Amino acid sequence: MLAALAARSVARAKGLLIALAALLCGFQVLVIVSAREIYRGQMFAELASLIPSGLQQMAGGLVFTSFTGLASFGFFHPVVILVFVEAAVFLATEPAWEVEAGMVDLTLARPVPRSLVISRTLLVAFGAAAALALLMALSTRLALHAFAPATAAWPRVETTTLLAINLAVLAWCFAALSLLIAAMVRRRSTAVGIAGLAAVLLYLVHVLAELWRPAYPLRLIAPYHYYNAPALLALTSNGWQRDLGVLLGTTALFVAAAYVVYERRDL
Amino acid sequence: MPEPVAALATEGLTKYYGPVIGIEDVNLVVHGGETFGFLGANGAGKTTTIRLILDLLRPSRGRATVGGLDCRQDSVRVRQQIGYLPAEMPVYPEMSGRAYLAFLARLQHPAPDAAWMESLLRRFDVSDTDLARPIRDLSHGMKRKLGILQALMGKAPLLILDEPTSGLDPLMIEAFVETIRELRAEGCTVFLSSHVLSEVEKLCDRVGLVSRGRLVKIAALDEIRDRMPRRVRVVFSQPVSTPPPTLAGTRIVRASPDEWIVEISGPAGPIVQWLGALPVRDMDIETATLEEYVLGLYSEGTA
Repeated sequence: MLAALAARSVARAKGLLIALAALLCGFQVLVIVSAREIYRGQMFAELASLIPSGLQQMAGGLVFTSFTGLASFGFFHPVVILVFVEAAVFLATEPAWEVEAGMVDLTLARPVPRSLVISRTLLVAFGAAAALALLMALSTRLALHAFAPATAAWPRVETTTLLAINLAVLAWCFAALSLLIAAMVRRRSTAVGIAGLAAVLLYLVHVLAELWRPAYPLRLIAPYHYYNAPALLALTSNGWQRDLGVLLGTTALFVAAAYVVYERRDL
Repeated sequence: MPEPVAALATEGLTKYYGPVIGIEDVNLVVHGGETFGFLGANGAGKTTTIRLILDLLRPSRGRATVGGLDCRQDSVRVRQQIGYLPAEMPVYPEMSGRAYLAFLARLQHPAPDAAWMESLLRRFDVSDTDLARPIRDLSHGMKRKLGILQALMGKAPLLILDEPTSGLDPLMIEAFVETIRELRAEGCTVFLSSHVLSEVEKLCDRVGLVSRGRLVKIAALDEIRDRMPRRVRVVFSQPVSTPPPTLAGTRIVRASPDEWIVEISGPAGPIVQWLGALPVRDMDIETATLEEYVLGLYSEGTA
């Protein structure tokens, strides 16, 4: 039953997933081609001078001053992160659509446990985020082999892998929040609206906390804080494990709450 | 001897939507092999009752059971025994009819029997070409047929059908009625919510009338027929000055010296006896249809 439900969801989201995969992988290739040109022209200093110091500080010194940093930029470019997160939000709100469209009246009139609807959504949203992150990592490695200058220091495989894993887990966290909201409401637009807006607002909180000292304590409430790309790039500390733990723990809490809420609600 | 387990029963089943009454204290028992008609005006609480049975809604109080199993506690096992046709058929418009039925079949346990499925497709005149088309391109009637097919394909012991023939042509209505009769003969129980009272008359053994969330009447169809008012038109050969009698179960609709129109409920004997002393030239008795009877109850606010 789970396979049938998941296959149906994937079939419905097929177009979106293909488009996203093409967009995100294409962007990775574009970033690496751009990094090659900057490397060949030795224009890192000029590039760094164009970026406000605050943003440079936020992104870590390595990003705009080295081929390694720039070639990995596709994993933490704000647009990429937000597109990734918003896609996860959309996929995770399917339970609200099913209530809105009346599909639950057909699926749950059959011997399908309610929990399976949540499990199916988890499988699809989490699986899609993981698959997209994996494709981004693969396209990065392929693009490096195809376009990167042999003399440049490439991002290490571990770095690319960790960036992809962290990005996927960040998306899971927002998918879990969206799932919880979708488990409560009757309209997908409501669920996407609330969760999507929360994703954007929390990103702004993250940026604000990084750039404005008085807002610094707020950084802890933004999940983006736990996707520390500069540290991952530098591979300097093991903080990423703690960050992943926070994101996974929050995700688990939201998911557990979604199961409970959906089990108790009127459909 | 222990009483047989009811195919479907509700005990004090109640659902409030905040201050609004969905249904209140609904008590009914549907016996195995019976076809039960569930009637009521729009918003009376029919769909709420059905959705409570299916555990899509959670009751404010009371409970429903199917084959002795609690619809809330044994929800999955209960739904294993139900074939459900909603009034509004939700569809995935991009799917073909075949893929849609296959998807729903994969959610059933046990899986539908292929020979029975073939037989249903033939009965309802659904061709391979129809099944290959995306559902968005199908007519309302064809979508309804898909709905009937998905509800019947599992040969569930309890069928819950909400407005099953809405949008079907007369031939398909006949095919539906025949199929339901066959399934009933095999022991299937049918809970039928419908506005088409001719269909209810054809199929149902008993009916329940629900009004403003309350079950106001349950009766066997034969019993209702016996109680249904008949309109008696009496024409006199010469003017009659005597006024019509006020007998129990009699209502005077119109009275002139040449003609009376009287509505009677119950036995016709007393009025016939009374008329014996009068110069009756002609007499015509017209039985009300179930539709007129139920509409009468609706307008009186009884149902």
